Amino acid sequence: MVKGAIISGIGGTRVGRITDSDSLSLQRSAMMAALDDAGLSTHEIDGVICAYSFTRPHLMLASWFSEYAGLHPNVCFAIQSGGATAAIMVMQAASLIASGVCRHILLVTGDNRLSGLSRDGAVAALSEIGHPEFERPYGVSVPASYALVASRYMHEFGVTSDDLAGIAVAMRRNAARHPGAHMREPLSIADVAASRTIAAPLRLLDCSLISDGAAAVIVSRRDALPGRAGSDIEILGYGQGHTHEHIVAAPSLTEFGCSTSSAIAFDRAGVAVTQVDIAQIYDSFTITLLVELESIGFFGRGEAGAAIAAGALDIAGALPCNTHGGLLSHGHSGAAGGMFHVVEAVTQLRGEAGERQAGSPRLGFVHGDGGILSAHCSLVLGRT
Amino acid sequence: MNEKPKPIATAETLPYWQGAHAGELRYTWCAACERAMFPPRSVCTTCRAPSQWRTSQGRGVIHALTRVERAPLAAFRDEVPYFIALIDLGEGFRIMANLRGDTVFAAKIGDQIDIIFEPVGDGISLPQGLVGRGV
Repeated sequence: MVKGAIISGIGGTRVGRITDSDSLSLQRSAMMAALDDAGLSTHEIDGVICAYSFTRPHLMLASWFSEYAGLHPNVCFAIQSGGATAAIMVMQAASLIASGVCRHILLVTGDNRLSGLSRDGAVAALSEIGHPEFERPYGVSVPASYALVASRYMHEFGVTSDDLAGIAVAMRRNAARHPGAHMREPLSIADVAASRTIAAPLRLLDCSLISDGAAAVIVSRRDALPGRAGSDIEILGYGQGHTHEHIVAAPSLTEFGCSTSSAIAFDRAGVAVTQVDIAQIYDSFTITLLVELESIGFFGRGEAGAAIAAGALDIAGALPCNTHGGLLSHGHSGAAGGMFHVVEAVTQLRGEAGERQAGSPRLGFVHGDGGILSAHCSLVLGRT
Repeated sequence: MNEKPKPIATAETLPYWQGAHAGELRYTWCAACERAMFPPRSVCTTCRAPSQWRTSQGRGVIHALTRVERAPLAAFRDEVPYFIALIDLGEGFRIMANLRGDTVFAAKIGDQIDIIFEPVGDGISLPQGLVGRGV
């Protein structure tokens, strides 16, 4: 168990189209909200971890952000692991706290990839994740790569297109309760089925959104925050699993690194998957969430679809999951998309989620995946 | 953005692209581990021994496939819908390719594929998968 690393502050902007926004200013907004939440000032931050930005690609984003925001940290770097980035940032911060290197680490993510890039520009930029020699000449996109996984997973486990649609519907139902979500209008299975095909079997509403937004988290040493009232959210466990980057080189289209990353995280935390009260799991596509839920062990193979259709992921369900609406409906603003999963987990564990509060959870699970189910990082968070 | 991405060979992958342009699907093989590797590498990822080049019979099976209707780049827009498959070759390696042939809309996982080669200019030919292979 990792002792002593707590999440002391969380902050996020609303998510959607934020006109006149900029990657750096969005991130600063999230930082200020997280500092206010933690009751800390900028000079107390001695570590800064940033991610990446499509609209402001830079070799030293963490240094630039620190300069821009007036931070003078002792530890400062950026992480690029696609959708696993946010969870990896939390894992790295917990390690730096546990080893005594830092006291208060700011993790900040954000991008204006909707207003700062055209939709075509964002899709084209994302397609560069494909292998330059052995994938991109064939017109591969991120959705097409996930569609390949979906085709195989559906073939082997009897998952249907309606099972996938049910995930989009469930995420929308959750997002409707979040005032800052990008998409809140109700959605039906028929709406998903009628949305245009992007890469069969995935349709438009099987795909996450392209959004502007930013989220920040502060990870602190527990003893660096004396006299705090209320309960803190502790980082109890973390783990990673990496099997490939390109889907052509994936050892399997049904077994991924999430099995390994979650097993390590649960083991480190000394808990079992059955003890998890709430989960915030990467949902770049409907198939992403289905594969991860079944691979991590929340459901048996081929069983998640029916359970989700019956409301398993709703706030009153057996496993309240992506209670903010996830990347599919709350929004996807790059690395911030994954950080919002962390923010939502903390919000739920604190009992501060208002009308979307899912009971009184004590143990939360967060999972991020980058690439084409390539890079995985799992976190176990607990209310102490 | 208006040109399709063309593979640029590295010293390590050059024999693959030379082979493709000559109508051969080449792959790297570790003699010690008796295992094929794709994408090609000059060194075995398991035992680190130097690998050898071999030539595939060019016959495989569809492992996964998708029909793309939203192209990632303008250069592919005129081709939608097009098919992308992961194809398992008989020698034990997997490639990505587009599917070709009159019955491509009926293609499914498990179907047999013949690898063909399509010149795309600049001395490059892309391996592609032909469906509807005769028995």
